[in-house]
Amino acid sequence: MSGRTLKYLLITIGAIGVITVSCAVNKSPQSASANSQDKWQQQYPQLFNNAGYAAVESRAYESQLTMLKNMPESWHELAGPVTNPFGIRDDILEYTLDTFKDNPKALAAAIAYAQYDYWTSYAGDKQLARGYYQKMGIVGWCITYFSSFNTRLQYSRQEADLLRNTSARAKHERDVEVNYLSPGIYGFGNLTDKQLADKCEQGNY
Amino acid sequence: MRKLILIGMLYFVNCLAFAQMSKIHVFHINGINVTRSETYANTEALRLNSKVDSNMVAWDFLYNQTHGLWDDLLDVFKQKTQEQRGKITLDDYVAAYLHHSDLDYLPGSTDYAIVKASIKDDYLNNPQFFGANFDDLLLQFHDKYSVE
Repeated sequence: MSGRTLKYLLITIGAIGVITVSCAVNKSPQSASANSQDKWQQQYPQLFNNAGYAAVESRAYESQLTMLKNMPESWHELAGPVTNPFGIRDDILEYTLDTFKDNPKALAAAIAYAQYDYWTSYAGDKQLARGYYQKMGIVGWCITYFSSFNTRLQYSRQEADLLRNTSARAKHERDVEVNYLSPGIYGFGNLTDKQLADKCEQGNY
Repeated sequence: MRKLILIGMLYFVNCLAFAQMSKIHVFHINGINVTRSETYANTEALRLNSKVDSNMVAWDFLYNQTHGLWDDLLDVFKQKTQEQRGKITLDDYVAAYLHHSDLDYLPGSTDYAIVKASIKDDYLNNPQFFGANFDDLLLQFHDKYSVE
């Protein structure tokens, strides 16, 4: 091998190295999010054909950014793995998807319900947590509206149990309820059944 | 024509009064060992079973945290004991007011009733008779439903 060939070879290897390092450094959260979205899309294609998907996904992105900004380091393990584009712990999303797999409208409402409940827990800010909790009322109503009260009750109980599935998480939930939510006035206000139904139909929750 | 305008104005005032007075707030208060999501479900169940559907009725709840069954029971016990020992009733409040003002109206008399009615709002707005949370809850209620 001549000196010139060796020189070109070394330059080429160096260039490949620089490009590889550069790609690794610039890997954006969006590209990681797109990959995880593909994974979930393959597993649950019915969800991504639902018209309500765009709303729940965009809400997730915005809220996740706020949440990550406010969340203390010690909460990361409690919050658990979130590889999906909806901003909910993976096992809670899987349970939600399995429960409402044949009812896309109830599914969109249930995902929103799980989002608000999860974000109430990890908002790290009293006002934000109260705002998310307030929104749980209408989406809970929407689950009933698109399925039945018994289905809604069963779902919300199981979802609440999953949120508290370790002693550390159960303690965290109690702390959130004591420090952020309580005592407080929440509810449906004076919205009529028709107004609530309109919100559910329009995905305005 | 003047009569018609008068009747129209009376009707309008009447409607305003009706709109203000007929607002009903239904408050559910969560019991012991109830999670925040169950509280919503319980309020929803109350509303569904009532069959009341009107924008003159507001359905809300007061959420108080749970600390687990045993701690909640202990809390209820402490609260009840405190109520027996320290609660100042409206009549206690009126008696203190009369004493302070050197008045000797007897309970049941017209003067007593007038004084009682005139200071009832002060009593209700004073958080110290209802515990530390009362003031905060009052503000939250006023924020949610501004008093006109």
